Amino acid sequence: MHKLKKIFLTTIVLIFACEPDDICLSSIEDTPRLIIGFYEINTNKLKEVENLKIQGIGNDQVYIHETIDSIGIPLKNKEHLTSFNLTKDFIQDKPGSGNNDKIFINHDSNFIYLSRACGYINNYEINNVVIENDNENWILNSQISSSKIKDEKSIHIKIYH
Amino acid sequence: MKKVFILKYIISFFTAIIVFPLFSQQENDSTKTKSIYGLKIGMDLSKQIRMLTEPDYKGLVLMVDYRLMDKLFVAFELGTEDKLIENEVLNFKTKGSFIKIGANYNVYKNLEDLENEIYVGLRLGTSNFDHKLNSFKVYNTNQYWNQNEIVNYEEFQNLNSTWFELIFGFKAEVINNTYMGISLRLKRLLDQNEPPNFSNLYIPGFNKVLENNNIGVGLTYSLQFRIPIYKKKKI
Repeated sequence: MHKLKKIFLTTIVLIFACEPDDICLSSIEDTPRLIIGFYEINTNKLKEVENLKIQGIGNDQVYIHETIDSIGIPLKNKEHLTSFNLTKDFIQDKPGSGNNDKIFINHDSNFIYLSRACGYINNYEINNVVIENDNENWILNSQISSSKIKDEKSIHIKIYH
Repeated sequence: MKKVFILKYIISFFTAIIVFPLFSQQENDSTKTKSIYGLKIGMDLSKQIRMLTEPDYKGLVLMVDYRLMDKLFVAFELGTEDKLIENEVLNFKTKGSFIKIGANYNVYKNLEDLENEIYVGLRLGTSNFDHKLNSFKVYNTNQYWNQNEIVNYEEFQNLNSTWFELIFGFKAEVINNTYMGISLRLKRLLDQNEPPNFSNLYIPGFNKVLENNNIGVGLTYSLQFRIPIYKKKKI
């Protein structure tokens, strides 16, 4: 019976040692952001926007304030409308400075299962993009170049200025 | 790597265990006594233990075996399981029932009139189950909108799977005709139908499913009562 006891204990220890830790590895790509490219209207080439401040409408946090020619912005997962304030020539600590344009993006969610540890990712689909007309827009035109957001490798929306 | 290591450990454990009773079998077989053939009926108490330790688990398993030959038993298990699985990114409930059919081969030679078993066994299992996804988290390193927790009730119904089990276990007659036993099971999934845009992470009867291989493990703790049917001379 002593042998049996030993087997019994070993078995129990084995079973409880067999639960692996499931970790979502950081090498796995997460939900892609919407990539915006800023283009010169005449030459159709990427052109930097000076001191661009990007802030989500309804969000207290400034997303970015930099001089850039392209940027990935996050979309909402629970709503189908994401909107941002894009302020060109913004000066730090000077509210109301620069030229502010509003962008509205209509999109659908498309949740895709990844794994036990990572859950789902969202591959959005852009339905349309609207730039609010305020009579002195710095954004002259916008165009959807890729409506399905599957990765961050290409530009999804072109903004001409 | 860790999984491979565990697997190696299990396999070597199995082999060691199967080999050792062979050494202790050189007992005298001059005394010819009668041995009882019958039907053992009981349940897998490990499910009841789990019900006490895991609040979102329900399970009931009936375990039956019949002694067909001196060392060979046909075995049958019927059960149902209901489990809520919650981790950092998923919350879902799996519910289903299963049947396992197979045999046990007793490798232990009992002394005199004892009727204990150290056995190796095989089972073919099949189950039918549903998953109910309650909520999930969107994997998003960007937290700007803080909208990653999605409540999305979705049902995946009428799924099934089959698998194969390799068993090592023992049963001891603790009181007259009352057996207590434990078994360790190594399982391999043979077939499953995957739900669309989700995965079978738990299969009733099979247990937790790993995503990168088909191997599973299990433990049973049985309590069975024997109904003696006839006696036969020990071979």
